[in-house]
Amino acid sequence: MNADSSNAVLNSTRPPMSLTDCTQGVATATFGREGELLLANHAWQLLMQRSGVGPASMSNLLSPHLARAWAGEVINTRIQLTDRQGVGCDYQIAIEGLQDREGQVIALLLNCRVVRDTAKSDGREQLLQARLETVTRELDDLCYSISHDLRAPLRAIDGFSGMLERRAAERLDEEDKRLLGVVRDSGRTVCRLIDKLLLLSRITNQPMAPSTTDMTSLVRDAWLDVGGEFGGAFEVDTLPSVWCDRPLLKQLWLQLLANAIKYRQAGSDAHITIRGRREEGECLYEVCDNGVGFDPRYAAKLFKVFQRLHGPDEFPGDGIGLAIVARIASRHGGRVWAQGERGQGATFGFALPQEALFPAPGEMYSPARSGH
Amino acid sequence: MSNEQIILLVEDSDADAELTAMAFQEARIGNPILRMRNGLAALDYLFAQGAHAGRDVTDIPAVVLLDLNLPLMSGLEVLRAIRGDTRIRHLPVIVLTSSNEDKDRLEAYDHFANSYVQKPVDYDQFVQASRQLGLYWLVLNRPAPRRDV
Repeated sequence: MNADSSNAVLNSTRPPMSLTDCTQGVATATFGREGELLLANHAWQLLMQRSGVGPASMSNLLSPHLARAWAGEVINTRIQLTDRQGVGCDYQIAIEGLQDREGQVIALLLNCRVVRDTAKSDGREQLLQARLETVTRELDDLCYSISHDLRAPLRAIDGFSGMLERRAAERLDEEDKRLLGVVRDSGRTVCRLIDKLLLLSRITNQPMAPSTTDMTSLVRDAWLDVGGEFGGAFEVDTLPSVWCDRPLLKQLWLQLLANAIKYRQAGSDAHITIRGRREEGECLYEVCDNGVGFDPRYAAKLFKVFQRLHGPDEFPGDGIGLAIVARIASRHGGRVWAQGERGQGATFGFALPQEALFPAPGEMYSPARSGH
Repeated sequence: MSNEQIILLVEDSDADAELTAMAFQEARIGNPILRMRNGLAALDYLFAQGAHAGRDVTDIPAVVLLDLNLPLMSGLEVLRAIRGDTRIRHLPVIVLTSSNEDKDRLEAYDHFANSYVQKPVDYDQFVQASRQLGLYWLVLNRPAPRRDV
């Protein structure tokens, strides 16, 4: 380790080269042995301007870390800087040595991202955060108790009325049996609704583990689960890959595909086509069918929970599937849409940001994404 | 002998216990069902203690149907106690519960449940499930031989 260089003051003037910004707001800079700035991106220069810290005070703040980084250690630390307006801000900083072929550290790479604005976090935000955690926990408990406790009486309703139906079969007339049937059907409907609502709640709350996902193979995978009963033609274009939580996106595809299958037109050759493209920073995906379509005046209602455009006697359903689609898209920072005409087929689409929005703001940045 | 071996049902809800008994009866499973309302009572029976002191501890049930949400002592604690005792740790334990939460399933298997079955709300499916359970655990499955204590 070179003692001199660990004390070298970091220089923040314009670097000889600059990086294009593909780093999602992470300020990145590389320093040489003498503290000279070799390479930096725009976010780094913005940070230097905003934070108002001179290179000298930056070096002071980081000096013990810099020394260790020159010795080959990977540093992950958090510092607080106050900008020119006196507003404090927390930064997560990762420092890593760049080595030459002999394993000698010849430069340091600094990655720096805003963790949170201290100004926003005094008191009020902490209070809100604590409240949010409580509410989330309560919601979890509620879902858990629904899944256990609400099912038990439903099982009794179905079981005992079923038993009555069997024991009293000879004494009951057709109308009596129909009435009992209504009781049993209603119990099962409530149960199905509970299951769907729990699914919706799980989809809203479960932590995401995003990765670059091959959407073409994911669609085919989902089709294997639901496509069996579909007698028509199914086509998948080559779809753009996207940064997303694979299980959640599979759930989204399952809902869209199941919908396209369910609303096919009786007595015509059904086809479903999956298309995708990149456009203006988004990956767009569409499920197009030649099914019964819908009245476009009500398109906005489709994605709301329990909203249905068809009666249960036409097409059975709960009005939760598309709400699930919308939730999953929105958790990824995306959007959904629907186009259709009555009897003219329908297209359901969603778009996800092409660039990763993860880790979400507020989460810590770690260069290897290993901490999470 | 297997016909005489009891099925131990650990279930706090009277309605569920009755339903399970009806479903097993309808599935033509002849083994007598002994029902315990909570985990402590189940362990007293299995370990031949308390109200069941003097019972032959090696005379184990053919299978235990265990609910998870139990008063006093949870189903998981019962399971842990069973697996912790060499005399009865081979006992087939089927977790029979309303929940299909990943957390519950994982915990049940972490505690070495033999099987995890969600009680169907639909009674006909429940009868169907009981028939399959009976066929597998009382007929097809070969239990561990009696241990010489």
